[in-house]
Amino acid sequence: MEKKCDKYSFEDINRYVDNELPQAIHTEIDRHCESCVPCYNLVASIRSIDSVFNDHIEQQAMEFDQNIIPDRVKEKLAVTPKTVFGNIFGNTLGLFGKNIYLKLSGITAILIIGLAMFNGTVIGPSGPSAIVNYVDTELPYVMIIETQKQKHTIIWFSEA
Amino acid sequence: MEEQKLVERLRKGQQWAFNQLVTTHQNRLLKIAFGITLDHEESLEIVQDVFLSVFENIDFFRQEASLASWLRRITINSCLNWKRKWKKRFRWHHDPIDFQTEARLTNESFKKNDPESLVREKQFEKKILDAIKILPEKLRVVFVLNNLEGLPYEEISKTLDIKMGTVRSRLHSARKKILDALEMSNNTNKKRGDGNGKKM
Repeated sequence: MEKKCDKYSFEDINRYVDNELPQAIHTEIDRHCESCVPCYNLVASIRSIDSVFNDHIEQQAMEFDQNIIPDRVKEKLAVTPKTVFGNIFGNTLGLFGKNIYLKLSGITAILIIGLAMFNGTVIGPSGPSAIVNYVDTELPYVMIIETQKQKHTIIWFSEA
Repeated sequence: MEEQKLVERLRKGQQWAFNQLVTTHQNRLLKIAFGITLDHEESLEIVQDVFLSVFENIDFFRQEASLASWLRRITINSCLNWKRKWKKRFRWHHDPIDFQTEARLTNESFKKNDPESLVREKQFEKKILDAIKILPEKLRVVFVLNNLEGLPYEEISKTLDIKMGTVRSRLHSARKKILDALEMSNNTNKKRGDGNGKKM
């Protein structure tokens, strides 16, 4: 095991390597390392660790295909492009400005118009619209009527 | 191109601006991601998601910090989330990378003039990398930011939202652990060497 230096701690040397010490102390350690073998070796070891790690990562980074990320991102953005998404939602919600009441009334108006356009086909009556209990006539007959839009069937039956 | 203008164009959803962003920052972010995850494919995934996230959240970027710092922060968070996610599934290990590295190092060494000393040098490098691989997550992130990004302690503390003293102690611990691992392996080698010497 190498002999340790009594003057500077491991932490001091680390801060020295990282240029995190005041200039005066930094210069002092500079000079100290010229004559102190343990400190000199420690500085060299720390620098070699940093350098090996940096070189390794640099080398690995060179192996990355520079087109992969742009291509993958473009591919994903093509599914949900911000320009299309942003404009649709931006225009719909931003149409009425920043006033929340205007926005709410706008949305309500859109809902009412939408419901009116459905014209009862979606949320219209699910049962018969009317039940005829009694028809005052002397002639027996059956009449079947189907309404045009809602396709309700009306059966008109009369007994003589 | 000025960052302000780039951000404005990104907000408008201009493809050109996005290409510019990716070209400028991808290499740096890949290094950070690889430094933390040590996984090639995961680094690509992480950086890809970082850019997508930037594209989707550029409206929330307040420009208090630079775009580079914002990207760095997102990348680190993604890396840490990735590690947490995988830690839950199985024990984190990197055998395939070890194998690849070793194979590559050996091949490179034979191409050069002095294979023996080169192999020794590469073995030393491998020991350092092995020691770095087993560093705890917290120490490794600080080590990566200090080395790859060359960030001063203060900047690291802001990026990770920790105290400067914590940065200092984590960085020192990281180096100490690596040095201890090297010393331990050197001592083991010396002992093995002595053993062989006696036999001869």
